[in-house]
Amino acid sequence: MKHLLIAPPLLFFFAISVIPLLFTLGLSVTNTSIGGSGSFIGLNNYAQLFSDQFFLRGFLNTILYVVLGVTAQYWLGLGLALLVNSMVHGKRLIRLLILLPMMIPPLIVGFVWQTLLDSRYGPVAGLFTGLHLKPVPWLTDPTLGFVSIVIVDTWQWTPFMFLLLFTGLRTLPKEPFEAARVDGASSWRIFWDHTFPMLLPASIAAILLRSIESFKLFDIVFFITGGGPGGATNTLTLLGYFTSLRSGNLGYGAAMSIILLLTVVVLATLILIVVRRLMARADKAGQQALDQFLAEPLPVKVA
Amino acid sequence: MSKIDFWVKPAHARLAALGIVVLLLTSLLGACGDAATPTSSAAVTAGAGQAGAKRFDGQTVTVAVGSFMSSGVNMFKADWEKKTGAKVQVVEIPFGDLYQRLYTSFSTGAGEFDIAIYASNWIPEFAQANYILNLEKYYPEKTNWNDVVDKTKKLMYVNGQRYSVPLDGDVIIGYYRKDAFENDQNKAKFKAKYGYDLAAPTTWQQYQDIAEFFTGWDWSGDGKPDYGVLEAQGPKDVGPFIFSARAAAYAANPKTPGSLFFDPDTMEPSINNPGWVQALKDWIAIKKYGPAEMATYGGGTMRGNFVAGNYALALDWADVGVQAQDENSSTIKGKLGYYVLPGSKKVWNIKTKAWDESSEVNQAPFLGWGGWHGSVAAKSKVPDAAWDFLNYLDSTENSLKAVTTPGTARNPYRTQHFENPQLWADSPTKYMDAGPYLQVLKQSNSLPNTQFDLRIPKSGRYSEVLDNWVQQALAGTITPEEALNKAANDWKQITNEAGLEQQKKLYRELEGLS
Repeated sequence: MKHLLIAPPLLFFFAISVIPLLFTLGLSVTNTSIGGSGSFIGLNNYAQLFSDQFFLRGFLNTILYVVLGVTAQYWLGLGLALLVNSMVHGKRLIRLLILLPMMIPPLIVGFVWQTLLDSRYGPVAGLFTGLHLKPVPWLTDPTLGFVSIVIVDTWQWTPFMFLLLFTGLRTLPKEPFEAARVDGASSWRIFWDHTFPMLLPASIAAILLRSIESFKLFDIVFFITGGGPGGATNTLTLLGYFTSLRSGNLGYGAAMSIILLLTVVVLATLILIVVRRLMARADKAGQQALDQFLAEPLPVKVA
Repeated sequence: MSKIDFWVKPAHARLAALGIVVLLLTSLLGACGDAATPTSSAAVTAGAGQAGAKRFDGQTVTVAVGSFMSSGVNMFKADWEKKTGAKVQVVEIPFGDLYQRLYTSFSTGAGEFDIAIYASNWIPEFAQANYILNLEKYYPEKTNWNDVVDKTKKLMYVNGQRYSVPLDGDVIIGYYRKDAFENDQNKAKFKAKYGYDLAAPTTWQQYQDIAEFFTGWDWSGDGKPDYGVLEAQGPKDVGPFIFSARAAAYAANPKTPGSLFFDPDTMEPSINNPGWVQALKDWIAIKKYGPAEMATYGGGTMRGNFVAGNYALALDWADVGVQAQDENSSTIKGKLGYYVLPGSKKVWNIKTKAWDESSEVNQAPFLGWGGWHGSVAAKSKVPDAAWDFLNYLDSTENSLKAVTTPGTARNPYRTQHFENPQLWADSPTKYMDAGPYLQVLKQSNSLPNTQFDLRIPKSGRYSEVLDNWVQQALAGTITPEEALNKAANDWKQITNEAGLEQQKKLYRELEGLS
């Protein structure tokens, strides 16, 4: 009887999560187009995806956005969190200012960055001209276009990392740090031996959440480069959107979505495994340090 | 409530009741007056919004419209509601989602919309699937039908029957900075460099020369170097239309009608023939005469930048002309010249597989996107009211008001719209010197070799594929030949998926081939 009590939430979960997933999976093995016409074609869509150079480029871009963007966001977020945490005055104001980019709608972010990076009248171009350097085609060169998207994504989402890590820092116990300081440990050692390992749970949550979100990167690319030049900044979500909803190729678009989903699941699992190992190692090192500390006789100062 | 109750109620309650009676009488008189007034816009087009006894009282007409065209509908809504007693509910759909929303609504029989206002290119697909009503039974009551320009009329027909009401005319034209072109120093320098007079370009080679000439120096006098050209080359936007407009001069051979996109006999794609390749080479070459950001510009961004004043040439629909009149955002009001799209002295022949060369320029203006048309949904429960509202939007008076009002996304499509520049000067646009603008639009709409856009089913997919590969060539990742060959291969696949014979039959019919 008691198991029946969990039936409603299970059914709800099934309805909002599993059914759409199964529907997308079913769609991905057909050549359905908008309007519903289509027939079963087996794994043809999947086979075609792996010879579709636009898909492969979008796939590679997506992975690179996740790896480069999340790495940059993590370290910048951590640096900011440590900095703000060590501040004595103005913490609230700085915290608010840091969080601002995250609150701006994507359309405005797109507009602001397009203007900032415009090679004719943007302030960045003005800075380059002031330094007697040639204006840089930030959004129109394939490589720089890609780098620009990483920069904008990092600018917008570093605050999210900051928020989680700063909250994590505030919850850490003070005693180990005080003890380390009394023992004369350097700031670097305190960070590496205490702060970083103790912050790992918050770091894992932040990295995992941002990685999953980064896989879905759409709006910034859509508004700033539209996936160009020549598909150099395309993402899987953008491709999926254009394939499914603009061109009406629902089956093919669904296959893209399934591949994206599988990639997210596999990579998220890998991240968890790696981080778990890191944590275990950190725990072990911490335990060893503690054992060693306890084994040593307390220094007795003789007057 | 008894009579006694009424009269013993407080004074303000009695006054309110009397007020209601007076209001009802006034409305009745007003309605009679409306019906008797022949000067209303409704009277211009028989049946359009006629008040009569408010024949659509209590009915609601739901209109699905692409978001940036909604003001061209909303501006007439209240008036029609007042005249007919019906209600209009306008559902604005972001343009990018419009096709999918309409198709899904139609195909699932959801009956969400009574009227769909959408790209005329989709009419054949919707008509063939019986998603929209054949409007032949209504057309006899439409008195201003003959005034619609011929090319726009053709867009409304499928199997010889009309399925839409035109609300917009879309043809791509060229713009140039008259002030720069008329400057004597510029003229002399240009002639010395290129050996011919500086004037609006008539060939793509001239267009390129002019773009080169005006690039990299301050001809506008604002202290900064200017550019020769501005075009919308960005991905996932209007690029395929602009590129097709450029290709038409090289690939739309009057000797082989209907061969711009496909060989109408075999449905073999034409888009990788040397005509299209030449157009793509030109489009790549023009990049260096515009700002680097041109590679990301869509239609809207291009227009906003062009009217800001640092570009000598542009290609666009009629929109740049209207936008240039807005002195809040434009610095070029009164400085704009117009030309029919440049042509070419050589044009590819798909039958002989050789260039046909001539001393005459082959001009092939392009009706890119085809313009907004309105159709009545086949599942509409209020088709008469829906037709009446569409007809009202297209009445002689209202259509003129719409095309001369900025921001409606409705461009000229009736002969009357082209004929009186003074009407444009007096309109909300306050168009300065509209004569040449209207003349070029009219001419572009009516040349014998004016080309229709691709209108067969899956036109969206054909367009997307072309855009993807052309973008690769523009970015320099692959050669123009390679890009167009790959696009052509993908087109073959799309045609086969849709059914080659079916696509061929419709393509031929829409191109006016037997």
